[in-house]
Amino acid sequence: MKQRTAWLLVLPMVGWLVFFYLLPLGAVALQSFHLVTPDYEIGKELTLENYRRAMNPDYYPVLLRSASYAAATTLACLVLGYPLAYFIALHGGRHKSLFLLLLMLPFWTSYLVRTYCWMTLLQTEGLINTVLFEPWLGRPLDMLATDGSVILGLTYGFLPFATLPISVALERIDRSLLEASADLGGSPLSTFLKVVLPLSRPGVIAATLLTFVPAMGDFVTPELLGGPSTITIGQAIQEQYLQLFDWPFGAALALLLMVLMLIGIALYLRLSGSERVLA
Amino acid sequence: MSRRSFLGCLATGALLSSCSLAPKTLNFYNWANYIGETTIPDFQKATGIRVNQDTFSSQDVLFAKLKIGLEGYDLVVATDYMVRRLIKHQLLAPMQGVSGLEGLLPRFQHKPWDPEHRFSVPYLWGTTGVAFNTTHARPVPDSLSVLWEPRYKNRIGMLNEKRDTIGAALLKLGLDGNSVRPEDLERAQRALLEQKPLVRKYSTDMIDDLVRQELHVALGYSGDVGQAHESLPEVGYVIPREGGYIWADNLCIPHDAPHYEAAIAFVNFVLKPEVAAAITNTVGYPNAVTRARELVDPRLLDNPLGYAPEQMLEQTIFQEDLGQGERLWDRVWEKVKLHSV
Amino acid sequence: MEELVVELVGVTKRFDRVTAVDNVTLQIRRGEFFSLLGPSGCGKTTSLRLVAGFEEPDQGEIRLDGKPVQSLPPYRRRVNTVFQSYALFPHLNVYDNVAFGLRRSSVPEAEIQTRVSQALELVRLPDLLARRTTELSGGQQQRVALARALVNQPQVLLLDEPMSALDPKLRRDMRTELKRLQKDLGITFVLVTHDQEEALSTSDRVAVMNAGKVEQVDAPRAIYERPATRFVADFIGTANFLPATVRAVNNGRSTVVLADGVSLVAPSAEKAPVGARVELSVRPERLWLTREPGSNGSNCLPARVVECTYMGPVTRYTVEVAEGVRLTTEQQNQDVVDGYQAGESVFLQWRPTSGTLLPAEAR
Repeated sequence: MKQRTAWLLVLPMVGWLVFFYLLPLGAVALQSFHLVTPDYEIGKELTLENYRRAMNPDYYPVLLRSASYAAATTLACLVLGYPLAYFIALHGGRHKSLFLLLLMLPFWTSYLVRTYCWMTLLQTEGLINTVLFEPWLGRPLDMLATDGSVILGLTYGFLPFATLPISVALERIDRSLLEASADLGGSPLSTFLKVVLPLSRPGVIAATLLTFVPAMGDFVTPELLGGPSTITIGQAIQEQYLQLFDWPFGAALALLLMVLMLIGIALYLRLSGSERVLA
Repeated sequence: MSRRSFLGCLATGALLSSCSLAPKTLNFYNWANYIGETTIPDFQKATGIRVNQDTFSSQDVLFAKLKIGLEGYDLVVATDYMVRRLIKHQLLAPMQGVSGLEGLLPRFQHKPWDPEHRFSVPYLWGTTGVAFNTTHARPVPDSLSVLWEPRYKNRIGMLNEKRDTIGAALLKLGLDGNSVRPEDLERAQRALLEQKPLVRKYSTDMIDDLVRQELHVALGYSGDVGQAHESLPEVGYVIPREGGYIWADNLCIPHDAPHYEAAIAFVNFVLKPEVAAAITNTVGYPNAVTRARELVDPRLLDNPLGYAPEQMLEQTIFQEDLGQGERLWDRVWEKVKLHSV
Repeated sequence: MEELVVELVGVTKRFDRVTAVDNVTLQIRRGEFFSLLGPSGCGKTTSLRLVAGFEEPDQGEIRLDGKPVQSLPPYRRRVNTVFQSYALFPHLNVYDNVAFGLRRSSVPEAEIQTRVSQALELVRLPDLLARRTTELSGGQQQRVALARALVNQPQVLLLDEPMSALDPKLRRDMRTELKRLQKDLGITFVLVTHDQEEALSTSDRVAVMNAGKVEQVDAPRAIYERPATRFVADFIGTANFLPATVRAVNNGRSTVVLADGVSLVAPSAEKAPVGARVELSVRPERLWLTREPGSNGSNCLPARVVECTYMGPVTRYTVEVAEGVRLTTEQQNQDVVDGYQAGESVFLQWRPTSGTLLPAEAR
């Protein structure tokens, strides 16, 4: 009886997953096996043609670029987010919730609007150029539409996603372990390297996934801050859906990306030996 | 803000609220910033019909929504080639009870996409041509080839709309702007790939970039460039000597519109010269009502940004439905966008 | 003069407005088993943390081996701690936990191996090297924590309530084990505990703390038999208190008078001169009940049984010797078939040497 009641509690969740996740995903998957007709209708016959087309070498550099952006973003988020999380978790004191609130504050504004703000900061006649580069170099720098501007925008957007799980992981570390390390002769640096860092690994792994995965598929940031040569796989998929109206091919691209990511995540979790840590 | 704003697309995704089912309402699906300042309140005052306006960022989004069968829209704004596609897909209702069609500019009467005006009424129109900044682009350009000049590297903007950008390449090469011949498209693709390293961005929202002088030369829509000109007088516009596109956005009624009568009432309202003129004066795009011409801001007359002079319009062509050939254009577009410089 | 290894001189530590350690002076000798005993919040753990270096004193000096260390961080002090929660590193196995300290001081790996094995043998856990610490029982974890501290051969081993998480039987075994280790190794142990039995049974000397101050430092027997303050008498075991005034001091024996005029005899105390108001403290097990008054030189008070509780080996009686003055006593159930009944009039007796005179505390 108890067991059955417990199952009832999960039911809405299962329903949600089925209706809002599995069904649309199934529809996308199904669509990817059809061809779009010259009239932009979705054809009837089943084919692998979309997948064959997706193997087009034109997509390799795009995929590689997206992965590089995601990797650079993840790295930057970890490098910036870890000290931030460390400070909040270990030295935040009674202001801890205030710091977390400040970290989340940008979320109260639309991501789009915030990215738009970066556009105005980075543009040729933007604040950074007028205040920094023009007086310094005597000419403005082209910062928009570069790899750098895309990675900057992505890093800005995903920094909280990296900081929060690390902060949670750090907070969960028993303070007496830090004392034990110091007690056993561990200097602050070796305490950090030998105790804090390994114990925060679940947080770092979560932060990596939470940053890399969405950064890999993101299309808004490269659309706004990028240029013709920074096209990402997310933009390529979006293009198929909204510009070329080839939904089946877009679906095939999206599914391939998903499978690729799943394999990547599985490999990452195995290599980092984190199945146990996460469990 | 451009009528084709990427921001607008993402920010105003919400579909019409429950009030769409109430009597005396009209659900209008339009480009962003593409209506007169007081048109909607004036219409409501005159007829008692409440207007809910929703906006799209591209014709493809409009087509997608109608094709999926999202119900609720009573009136939509469709560009000429899209009208033909919507008719072909039987997504439009015939319009009955529209008066004033005979007062339309001859150029927009009985066009091939809807010769009898059964499904569409021209709303606003414009041209696709070359925008430039006179401070940076000298001599003043008159040709599409300026968009391929290396000295403007990283200051060139192209439209993120395959019809306009591939079309510009075709026209530049002296080919038919509606060609579906593979060899023509092959040449256009080569030209665009060659051009790509010079291009700052493919975008449908050029106004800001022109004003901020991020772009010095660009492929653009007349009315949008006109808005940029308002903010920065150095911004100019020309219909290139190789030719440009002329297009009309049309009012159409979806086949499943819940408030058909209200939609007809709105179409008739907009066809009134004073209403049409007010819309033009707000958005800068000319309208198709002949008698409205006398009422619009004189600065828009004989101006390529607004009512372009006749001899300029002589060089323009309409974007025709490409039929099965559109897939070829799609492949070229895909190739160009994916190409890594 | 024995060598002092840890000294606290006038040490005070405040947290916000709470004074956790209040002008404490303590001296701990090399090689002794020393306990800090007191109720929770008395400052014993803070004192230990001050020695370890986890806290800095607001005032006073802390010396290790005669050198002031109060400004040195913990990793520069040659003391090691066994934490109440053990604080074993969950990401390391048993071997790496024990080797942690040695690696920090760059001991060669070969030597580490020998010393870790020795340390684990010492705590009788030689076979669990590769085990994760989270897979160990509480008792095993505690042994690992001990080994991890001892392997560094500290000058002083600090133990913070190390046995509070163990079940009672294990706790008794561990007590013996700790005692044995301390004897064998000759390292100074400083044990913080709130468990008096633990402190008394293991330690060479015990410091009883209360409200941030040290009440008494003495050998276990002296702490129990000759408590210096009413707090110590009350906190260690149970005690009966009789308010009295010192009438005469003669040759190590003092005569005191109760409020109702009855005279009693007790060993003299320095802080209880003639005329002083005192409390005469007697442990319950030193009292015995009779139906007739005694005549062998014992102190004797007429009393009335208020309550009797049969507890198997003993029966506990609460008796009233005057209005509102109640004492408890425990009587062995040896051959008394029928004990005393509630309401019965009895006599309460004890040897004069069983009493302790304590200065009356201002209330």
